[in-house]
Amino acid sequence: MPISGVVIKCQMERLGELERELHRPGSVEISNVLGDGSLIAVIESASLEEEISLVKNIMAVQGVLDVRVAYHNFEDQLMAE
Amino acid sequence: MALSRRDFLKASAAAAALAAATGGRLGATDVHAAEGGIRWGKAPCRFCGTGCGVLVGVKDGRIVATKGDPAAPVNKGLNCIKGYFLSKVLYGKDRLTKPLIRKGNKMVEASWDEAMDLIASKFRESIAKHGPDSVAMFGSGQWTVFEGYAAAKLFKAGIGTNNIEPNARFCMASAVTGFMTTFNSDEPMGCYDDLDLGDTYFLWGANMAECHPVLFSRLIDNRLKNPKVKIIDFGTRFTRTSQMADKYIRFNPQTDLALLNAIAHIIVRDRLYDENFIRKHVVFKKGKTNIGYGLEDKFKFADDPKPMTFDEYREFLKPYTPEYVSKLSGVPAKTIEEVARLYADKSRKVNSLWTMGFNQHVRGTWVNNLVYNVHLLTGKICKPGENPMSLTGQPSACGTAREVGTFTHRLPADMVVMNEEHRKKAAEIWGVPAEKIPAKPTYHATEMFRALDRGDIKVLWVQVTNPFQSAPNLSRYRKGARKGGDRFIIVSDIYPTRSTELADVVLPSASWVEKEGFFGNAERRGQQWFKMVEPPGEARNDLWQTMELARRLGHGNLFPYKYVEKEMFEEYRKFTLGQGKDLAPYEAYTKARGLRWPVVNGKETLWRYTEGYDPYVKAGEGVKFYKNKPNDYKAVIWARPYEPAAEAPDRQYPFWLCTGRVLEQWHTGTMTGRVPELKRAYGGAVCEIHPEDAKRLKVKHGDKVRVTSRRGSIVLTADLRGRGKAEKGNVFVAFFDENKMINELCIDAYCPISGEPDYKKCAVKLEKA
Repeated sequence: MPISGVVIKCQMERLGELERELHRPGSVEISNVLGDGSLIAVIESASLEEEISLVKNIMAVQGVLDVRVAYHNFEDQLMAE
Repeated sequence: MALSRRDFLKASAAAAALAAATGGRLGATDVHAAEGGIRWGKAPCRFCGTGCGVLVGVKDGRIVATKGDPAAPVNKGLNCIKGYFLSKVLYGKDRLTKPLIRKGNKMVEASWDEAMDLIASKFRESIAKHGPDSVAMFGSGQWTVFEGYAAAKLFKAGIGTNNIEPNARFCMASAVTGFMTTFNSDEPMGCYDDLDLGDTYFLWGANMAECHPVLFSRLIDNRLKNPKVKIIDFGTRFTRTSQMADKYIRFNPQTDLALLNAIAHIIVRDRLYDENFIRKHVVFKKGKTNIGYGLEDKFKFADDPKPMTFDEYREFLKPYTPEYVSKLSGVPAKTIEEVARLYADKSRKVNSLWTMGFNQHVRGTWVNNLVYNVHLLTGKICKPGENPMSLTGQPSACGTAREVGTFTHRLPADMVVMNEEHRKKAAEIWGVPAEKIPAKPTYHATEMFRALDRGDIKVLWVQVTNPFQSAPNLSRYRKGARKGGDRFIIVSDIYPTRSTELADVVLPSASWVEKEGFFGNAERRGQQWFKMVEPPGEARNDLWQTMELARRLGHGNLFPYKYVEKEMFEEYRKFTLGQGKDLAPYEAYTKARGLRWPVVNGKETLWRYTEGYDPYVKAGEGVKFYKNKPNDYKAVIWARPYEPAAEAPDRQYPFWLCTGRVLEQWHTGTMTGRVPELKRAYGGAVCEIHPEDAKRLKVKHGDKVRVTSRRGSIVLTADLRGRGKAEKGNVFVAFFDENKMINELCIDAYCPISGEPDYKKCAVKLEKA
């Protein structure tokens, strides 16, 4: 089960809404909201495919400018392989 | 409450993201203790030319985690979505692990000795029978500096042929000739700091949001902080970049030449130029016109530059009125006027950024010259936050292909084989007689594959690239490769590709952190990394492979090193010292997160040619184009006209075809294609069509459509709703798909000065399949 830490850059005017809209306990957990329009999120998924799909879906949300990856751990998945 | 390892990893993930987002002000670091058993090492990313810093986490001999490197100035702890695939690309199930030798129609496993003996015997036979120009090496901008240097040294100083080229000829050779003809030195004066410091950004033929996402993020961050920031996207296709830009300006393919001349026309007409800068730092020149397209084998071109005055240049620009260029380009005259005024606005810090739209262009050198013209006219160059900047697509297109000089005509540090002094210097450093290095360039990439087809080249070794998918007019060159006779092809790669399938010998290579390496990115930043994991099976790095061939050919004396990478780098460094391209000692790169050359007295250079930043510019000189001695240390404004594309739509083939990359798949997909998740996300190439064109053809989203050019035909799925949106009369197809090789349709016309093919413009027809 890969885990990643990402920074989601948002349009400032939609920051509050996006915090609520994107937060999904167990898959996308928003841990911090920054004053520069960034959301800090931890993404947890069953597979890399699901993880990438979650990130792409976030990128497609209106008001999301960009998603960047700070941390990615996939040791469980490698062991499973 | 006791936390599980998973909870700790989640805390690490959140802390790393928070630290990166706040520049380290927030975000705990002690959670790293929870990542027990993971050993971290630094490396630049394996993918594009941005050169993002990555921390690679290794446990039990495998990569188990990656982080954006918070100490890396390029990306400051954040990677793009490709960061998810970095390690996965090394662990595909079909990694090549043993040398393979062709026996009839089968590839049979062999020992390294058998494979290298066979390769060496083919080289020896061919050289003895047909001369050194019958053997060749084709590498890439993904070669490490060591790999490229060893290959160039073996071919030029050992075998005695200039038959070496990188795939960088296919992607940024026009940027090189643009820099060389304007400034007499390759690579940009500016750096990525300009993305944070400027306020006006013109993007030309660059889908930065998908192809250079981390750099585009810096632009977006800048705009969030500074309301003055404007991003203007000139394009022939509406992309994610266009969507996020302040203004998208659609233009007809090839008319960028006319648009840039129109911008210069307005700047000159309305005296918006910087007279003082022009007087001190600029000369004017014109070259040949109607220069052809290189469609014939053995096409030759030599420009004939003539000086001109500012008044003559003004006359040259006269026809490029906004009204005339509006008709040609489809851009409203009013918009052209506005853009010219933005470029010239003295209160604005203006940057131009471009990639393949400019470079893969039958007038690629000219269009590079023309964007420099605008910056030189306005004096918006060589200043923090104000520069033209050519971006690159491969991790070491600059560091290896351009700086080491793995082109047929080049030697390290801007030197060329045609110059006797340069050959002497290279020969002295390499310890060979000067006459060993041939004075004449042989074939640039397209001509190299033509020579293989004709049979002039017999033995070709391909390393770190996939030309039998990426060359234009592909069918000719694929057929040529298997014509038989004395032809013998060796391909070194990490996976089976459309090139390995044509090879007589396939060698399994090590990749990225499976070897020690050094890349140079698009802002002149050299970055070193150490080997962190073992390559699989018997795979070995390309550097060893090249040196092993050298040894077997009797050229082992060219590589007398013990600590190969370090000693080779120190030898290479001798070329750069005192040339304005100075590299630091190897040791410095093992610690730093890269350094931008020239590095003098341990200090890197952010802005070249600029007093206070570049140690080669003396106090009081302000700006000095010190590499351009032939032009009295001035840059050249070139009169380069608009000339049409090699092939344009007509009644029979009514659409423009443009090819390129998409976010999920990199280049020919040999690495990203191994990530099953990506394959499912963007598994096959599609044909982007404008909805009105589709309606006329009675094609719906998801229908099959046959795309045909004068050179080939393939069936693709029509895409009317993708991220990229084709303009009317245009279609776009990505080139990563090995089962739908769009390059079979591309024309092998190229810029006569750079030799770079135009993958962005040819004519096709569409039919519902």
